[in-house]
Amino acid sequence: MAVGTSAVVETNTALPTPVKVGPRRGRPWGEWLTSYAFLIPAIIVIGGFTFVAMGVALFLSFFKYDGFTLEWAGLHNYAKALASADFHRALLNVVYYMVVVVTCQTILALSMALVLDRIMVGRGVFRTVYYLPAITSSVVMGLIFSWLFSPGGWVGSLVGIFIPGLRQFGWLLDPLTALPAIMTTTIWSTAASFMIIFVAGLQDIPTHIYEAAKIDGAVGWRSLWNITLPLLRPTIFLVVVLGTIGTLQVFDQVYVMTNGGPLKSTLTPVFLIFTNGFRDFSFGLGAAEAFILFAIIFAFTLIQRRFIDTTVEY
Amino acid sequence: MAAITVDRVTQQPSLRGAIIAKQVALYVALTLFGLLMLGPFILAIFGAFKNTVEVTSYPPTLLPQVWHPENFLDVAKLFPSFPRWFINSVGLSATVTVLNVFFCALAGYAFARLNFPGRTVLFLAVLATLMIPLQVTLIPKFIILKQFGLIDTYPGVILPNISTAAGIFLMTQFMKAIPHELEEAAVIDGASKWTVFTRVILPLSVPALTTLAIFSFQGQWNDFLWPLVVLNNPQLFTLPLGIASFSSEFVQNTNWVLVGSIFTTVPMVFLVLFFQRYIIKSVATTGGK
Repeated sequence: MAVGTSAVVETNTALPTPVKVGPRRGRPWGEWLTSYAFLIPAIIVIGGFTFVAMGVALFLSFFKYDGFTLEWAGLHNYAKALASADFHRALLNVVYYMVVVVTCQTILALSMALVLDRIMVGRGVFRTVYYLPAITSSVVMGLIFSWLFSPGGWVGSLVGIFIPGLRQFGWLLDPLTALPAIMTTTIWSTAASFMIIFVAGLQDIPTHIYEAAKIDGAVGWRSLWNITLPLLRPTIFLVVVLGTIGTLQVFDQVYVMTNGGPLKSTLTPVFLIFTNGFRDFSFGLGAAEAFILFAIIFAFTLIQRRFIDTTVEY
Repeated sequence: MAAITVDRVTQQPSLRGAIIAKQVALYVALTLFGLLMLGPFILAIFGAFKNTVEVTSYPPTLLPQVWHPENFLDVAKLFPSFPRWFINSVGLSATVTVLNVFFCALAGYAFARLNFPGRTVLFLAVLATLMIPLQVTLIPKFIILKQFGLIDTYPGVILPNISTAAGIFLMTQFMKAIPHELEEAAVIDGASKWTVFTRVILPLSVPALTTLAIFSFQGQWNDFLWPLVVLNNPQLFTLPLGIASFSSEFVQNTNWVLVGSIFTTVPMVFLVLFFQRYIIKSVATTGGK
């Protein structure tokens, strides 16, 4: 192929080939220069704070670094992280947290979306009200819920109506209930934004499919089970993946509500990385832990993709 | 066909009754859920008007026995930094929003409508960063900024957030869909790429720009971990950082903590009320955040 001015190599990506607009006044490098000039801020920021940063992190993970002295450590940081009881605890905690939060918020969000989808008027009002927790700062949420879960607070008092022994119970002070209390806080604040994704997913299902099913006698639960849920699979996948990524990174609530305690029952990997890096100044160890967590998140995403088949045929 | 079926159903009185009963049940469920969602806010607002003893007393009271609106002034009086935190939050969020929207729009325009070597590779590189979790770059970002002496400064908070992969993706997708004829007319009139970008593309991209602006502002306003890592000087704190620090200092004064929480939340509530159409639509299409 002749390397002409308008020859464009077609590659298989999402990007379109820009149509050549109007008479070309200059040489193509004019457009190239303009393009790179337009991209410079993004290249500096994303390149510097993601790609260079990843390189720095990988480099650091093989060193002992306290902010001043750099000392070769080989795989010591990885070995230390993998052998550390705190890291194990943090991983177990976050997997427990992830499974409960993702399951509950997905079911809750889906049920609310199904109800919201069936009412005739006032959808917008409910949607706005439900969305308020989602825009609240996680610190504010954590502080309000710390107060609600405090001994003699609202949660204890309400539960105390049924189980009087729990009236003055300190939910965040007990290793058994501290993490579930944080889970509740998170579910409360994130369910609504996932509900909105589900509402949109429900509206994408063509009505003629329901009509056809109705003629075949599928209504109510059968229509939900055999039509809505299978056709909603891509949306469910999206919600589960976003939920997984989000929950594995939990930090703010832990910092505000329990500081990792009691007895490390709410210690999470990001909290541990933060503590190792910015309280103990073991930057190398923190970097190694971050890479191990990255590998785990990556694996989880791949496993989910295997189990939730996202292809839908209408 | 379907319309006829529905008509027939609604004309039968017993079935119509069943439909109404079902609707009532749905509204009851939605209202209960709404109360659950708003409950903590309502309790926090009443709590902010209580005195220090009543707010943590057992059994908890719904309404304050004596209303203490002066709590709202006391917070500013007792914590002289509080108004400063508010201003810091507004300033940082506004700066990040303006720069992020502008830089993402620039990059989006280049990716969507210009032709240059390395376009595909760069675009895929940008998309790939969406998969990298924040904790991997947390420590190195800190160390890079430390080399430039930007720890404990506003630029340290701002810089990593002024071009985001999600923003660039949003802009690219939107600008791809703008008809080429509009651009062509400008080019025939002798407009440069910059003129086309500012006079043709940007005005046509207002919906996408607004969406990105809302999410940038909200994200920066609520961000906690990064400001926590970068900032040490309490004068530079943002609101979430500030209230988190004074809540650990004044454990006894939950009423003040709740006042601080209200100040942090109210601006976001207004944001949602003004822009709810944009927000709902974009959460639905992008998955939010």
